[in-house]
Amino acid sequence: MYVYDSYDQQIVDQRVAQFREQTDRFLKGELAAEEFLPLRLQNGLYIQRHAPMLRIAVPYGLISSTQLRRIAYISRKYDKGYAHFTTRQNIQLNWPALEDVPDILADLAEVQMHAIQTSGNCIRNTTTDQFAGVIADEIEDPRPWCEIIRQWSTLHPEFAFLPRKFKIAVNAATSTDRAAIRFHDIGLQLVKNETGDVGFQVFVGGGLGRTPIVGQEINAFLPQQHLLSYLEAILRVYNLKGRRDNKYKARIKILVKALGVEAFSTLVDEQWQLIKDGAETLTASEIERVKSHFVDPAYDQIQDQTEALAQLRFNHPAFDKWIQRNVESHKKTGYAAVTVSLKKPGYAPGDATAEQIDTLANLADSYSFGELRVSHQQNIILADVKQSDLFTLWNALNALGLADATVGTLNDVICCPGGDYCALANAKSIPIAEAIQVKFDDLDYLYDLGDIDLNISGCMNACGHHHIGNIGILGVDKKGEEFYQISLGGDSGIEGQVGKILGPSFKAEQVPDVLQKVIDTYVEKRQENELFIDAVHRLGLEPFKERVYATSH
Amino acid sequence: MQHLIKDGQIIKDDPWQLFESTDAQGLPGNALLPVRIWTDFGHELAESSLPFGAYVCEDDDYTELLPFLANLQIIAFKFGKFADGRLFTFARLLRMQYKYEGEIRAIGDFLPDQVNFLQRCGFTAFCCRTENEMQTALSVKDHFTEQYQSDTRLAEPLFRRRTV
Ligand code: SF4
Repeated sequence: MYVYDSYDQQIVDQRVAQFREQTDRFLKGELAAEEFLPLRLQNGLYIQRHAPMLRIAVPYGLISSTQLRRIAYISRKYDKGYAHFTTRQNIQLNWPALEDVPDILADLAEVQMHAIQTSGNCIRNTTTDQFAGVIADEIEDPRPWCEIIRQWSTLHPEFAFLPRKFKIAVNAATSTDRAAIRFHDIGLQLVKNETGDVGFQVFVGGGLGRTPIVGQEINAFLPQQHLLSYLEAILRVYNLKGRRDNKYKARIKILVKALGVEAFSTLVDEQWQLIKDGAETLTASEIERVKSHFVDPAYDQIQDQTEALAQLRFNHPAFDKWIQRNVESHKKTGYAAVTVSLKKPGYAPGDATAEQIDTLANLADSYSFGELRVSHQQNIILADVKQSDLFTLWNALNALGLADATVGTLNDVICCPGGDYCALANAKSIPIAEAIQVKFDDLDYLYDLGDIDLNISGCMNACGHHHIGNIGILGVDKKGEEFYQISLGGDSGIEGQVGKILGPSFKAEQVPDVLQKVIDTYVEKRQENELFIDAVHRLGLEPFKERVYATSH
Repeated sequence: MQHLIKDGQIIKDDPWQLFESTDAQGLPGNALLPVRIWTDFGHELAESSLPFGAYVCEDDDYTELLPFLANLQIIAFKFGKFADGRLFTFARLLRMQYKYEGEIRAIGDFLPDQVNFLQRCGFTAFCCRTENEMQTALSVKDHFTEQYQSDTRLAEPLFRRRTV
């Protein structure tokens, strides 16, 4: 992974000192609350319903065991001994005291971490595929590009006060899109042209929130050396023309929609021509320098363990299920990528205790070259595990209660913090996730249902990505009461589709039964091997509506 | 009493005054005039022996000033809301695209904490709201001694300067 040199370290250290000074001034009453607000947000600090919330950046979801241990340490020292993994591959602490935040940031800086631009109307953490660099189906490793974007966007002087937040995602896989790039302000797809050069297909104006929109292509092939100048041109047009009169219309997607993608791209081109081939043009040596941080770890030359595993799977059905659901094939023979599910009934999705975090760090040291990844499904990935270690690892995870073989099933819920933590919420989301997990807890039944993305958001801000869940649940407020709107057919992958709302919303206690009816409809009508999402697209909403809203007999 | 920092120094006797009317009769020298007056009377103003400047708000079209850049010793950008970042881009384009070399001054509702980024976008003078804020601005304006990007002050991004 990327390792800071003295320049990177200096920038992060100075940022900590700057924030310490700002916090001091605020605590002394020299900085008004509304003026401190954007300053603290640019450093990931929200004032939440119960306490401040600090969002720590995990650039493109990659974290070392040393860094993860530091998170555990901080959560014990300054918080309640657990941390939350977010849908944007970041980590949140829910209860730090404002006065402690400068010290927390200093502790983070010691292990090359920070909270820069994890919130506020600026360029946020760039995200990518959680299996980047270890899957066979990839144009090239997208992480060096994410790091190049991270550096360019960090403390960018011109784009710290944008109309609204701005999110960039990169995908390098050719047959899937685990980064959901079509639902980001800018989506970058690594592509190869006819002559074999690697560049970017650029999408702009995608997003969730109140107005979910699929991003549109504005450049079919951007040569790689122009990446930063092109991003700068897009941001400049957005900073000048994006709406600032209404925060619900301020995202770039609204601007692109209002202008039309043609007119928007003309404006971008005009700006780009001014800076193209200028100082921000990437040099081959810089690209090489960053790539050199992402070379393969020292893999052993070993064979796939198919037969040995087959025997173990036969003897241990639970291990077999776990391999089926939680283990991904690897580009390197003899290795595999393991997803550790952080979804457990009774715990908020994405939450982990300090003990679990420490143990995960140890497991990464023992089995995966000391590195981990955070996925936008709020799980943890050990990406480089020897197949011969899988059984031992599974046993270790089992002892921790982290071996649930539910990845990708209905039980692997993506869920925002919702009304339990978030001041913006219309409704609670975590108890809904729990109620569903409790209702659908039979593993064989879950496996029979196959892949189903269930995403829950506590309000229109869509942090739980409900629009792109195969099943989406959105908390709404009806005259002070919490209701839930259900949508079907969303898809975060290459097809990029926004789900359609089923109909009138439900009370919390109705939601599990409604889901049962939706699932029953699928089970009755599905064709052989047909996934839930494909069945919804084939059947349309009608049969689901009929079942769900049928007046009871 | 103004609280002006210019090229890093406190300035006590700056002559420039904001002139907020759009009535162009009998304009005093050293007036920072609205864009509107430059649009309507720019050519006369350019010929005057008196020095005139301009001030630009977020919703103004600063490109109306382009024909007169050579006559403008100073362009002030007046922040209506500190969280509105358009003026950062206006200044940057004025320097980068239109090669404006006169003074670019921040006035209105900006924060001392923004001065570092404003400098990097081409601002050279800062008219702070209070004495306190001016002192803060002076102490924090050069807080960062390293940066990743190129900007109006530093022609090369870090990746072109980095020594390993
Ligand atoms: S979706 Fe709404 S309730 Fe959930 S975390 Fe985001 S803002 Fe809060």
